[in-house]
Amino acid sequence: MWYFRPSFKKITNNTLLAHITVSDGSPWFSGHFPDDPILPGIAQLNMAAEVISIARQENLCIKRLSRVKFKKRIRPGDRLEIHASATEANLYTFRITSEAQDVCSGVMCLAATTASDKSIMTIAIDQTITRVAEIIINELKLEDVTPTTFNPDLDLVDEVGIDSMDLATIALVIRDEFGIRIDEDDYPTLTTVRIIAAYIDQRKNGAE
Amino acid sequence: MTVGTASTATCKFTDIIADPLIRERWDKVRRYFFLRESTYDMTNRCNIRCEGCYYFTGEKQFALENRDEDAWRQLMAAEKERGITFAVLAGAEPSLVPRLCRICSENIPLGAIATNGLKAIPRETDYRIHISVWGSDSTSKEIRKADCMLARQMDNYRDDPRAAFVYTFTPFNIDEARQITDTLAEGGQQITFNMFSAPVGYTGPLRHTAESLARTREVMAGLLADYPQTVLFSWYNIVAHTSDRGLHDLFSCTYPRMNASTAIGLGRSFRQYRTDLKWDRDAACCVPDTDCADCRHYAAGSAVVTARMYRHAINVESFAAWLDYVDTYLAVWVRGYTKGANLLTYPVAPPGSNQPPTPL
Repeated sequence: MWYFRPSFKKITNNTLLAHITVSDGSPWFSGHFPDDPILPGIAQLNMAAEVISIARQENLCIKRLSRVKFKKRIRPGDRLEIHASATEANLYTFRITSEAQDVCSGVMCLAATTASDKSIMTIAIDQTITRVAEIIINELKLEDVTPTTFNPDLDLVDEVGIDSMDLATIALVIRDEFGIRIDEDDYPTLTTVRIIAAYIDQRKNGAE
Repeated sequence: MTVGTASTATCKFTDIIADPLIRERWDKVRRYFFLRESTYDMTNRCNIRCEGCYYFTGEKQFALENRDEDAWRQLMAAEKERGITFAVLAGAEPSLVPRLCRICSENIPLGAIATNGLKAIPRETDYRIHISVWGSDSTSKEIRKADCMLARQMDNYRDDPRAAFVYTFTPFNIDEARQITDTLAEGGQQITFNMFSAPVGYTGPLRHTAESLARTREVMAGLLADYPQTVLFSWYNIVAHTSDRGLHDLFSCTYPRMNASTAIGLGRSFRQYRTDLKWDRDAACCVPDTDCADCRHYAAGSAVVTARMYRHAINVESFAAWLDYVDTYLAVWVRGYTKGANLLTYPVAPPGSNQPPTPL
């Protein structure tokens, strides 16, 4: 993810509140705009939808939007709260706030991703890759590399130097964050960040 | 600590390590995750001959001895190069080749030596020294054909922080462990426990039975409670090593002999070199020629149980048990590592074992 992972403060059947810090290193800021970084509106909407997806442990995408208002700029490092409540199945009113001020609000209709949502799935996998890279960097305390510069095809054992205990630790962080179980017997197959990300997405989608 | 009654619920790892005591112990042990071991037979000679000896079983005893110091130096440099960070010097009796031991420690600074303790290993080799004890002196005389073993061993390693005495329980020496532990406690020494694990094809009387395992469990628990400063062990060690099921059955052994994968972990890096400096993957484990179904060996558990962190991270209790085991492992094997107080004071069942904790 291009923001730090959400910290959920409250989740009920119909409502949620999550805290998020927008990463300084997010690629959204690099061109939007040079020397004046602002988080684009589409990124804000995607962030709200993704937080709901994580809370529901489902892959969801935005199908329809209404009454969306943008009221405050989001800068690198800003701390945000995302509030969402379901008014009916898959229909959410949402509000993003920062320092008790409204940033963005509206209504979004979500739907489970399908094969036709290929491009959205690709984005999701890319986000998973970035997040897995971030987990590995944090757990192994790697230097001189960022989640976005980490080569997802590096062999983690031969080229990064991780061992089974490192992988077990990473697997536990992934279990927490993505709500999936990684079988110990699968460790030998998890040789790159890209493969781990694909494994996560398969598990999240129910494929064993 | 928030450890309560046994629970099977799966918790988030972040919640498990949110407990301050768990977190402190986790931070302490994870600093040693870099350890990658291999073992080395140093010589094909020994100054005693013990019943059921692991070395003088199978093919490795017939390997020719390589005493060329340059060859050992090159081997250790190559081992270091391929990522080995912990050397275990064993068979047959490393104290007979002290210069080779020193060469190993000069290249790989962390390690341990398994010895019968009858000949002191010079202090320059700053490895943990595991001194084997198989019972009282009269039992040792019978099984090992050596007189006054404990007194000689203690003399050789008096006030030596490298020393850890390893008491191997057989069906015949269970009740002698208390006297040995008491003597070692008076001498300021430390002891840990091993279980006799039958070599392949062994038909002698030392193989454990359900009754001897139960009695061993009882004695270990008593010693752990009565000599907490002397005994390097935990309640989970007792569970893991005295179950009717062997280590492989409980935890799936990760050594190459039982693990076909060469992708990561022990299956990738572990080698067991013989005295001719050759190794055979099919025979590679810490105690080659042991019957895997009967293996409860302390060295095997140190790798096999330790490697199974993920499956223990299901709740605070199971993870605390695993941390106690790893803390014990590091205290027994790594020079300078000080064991903390055990987090658990009662036994818990291994994850997925589908059986209640073994009563103690």
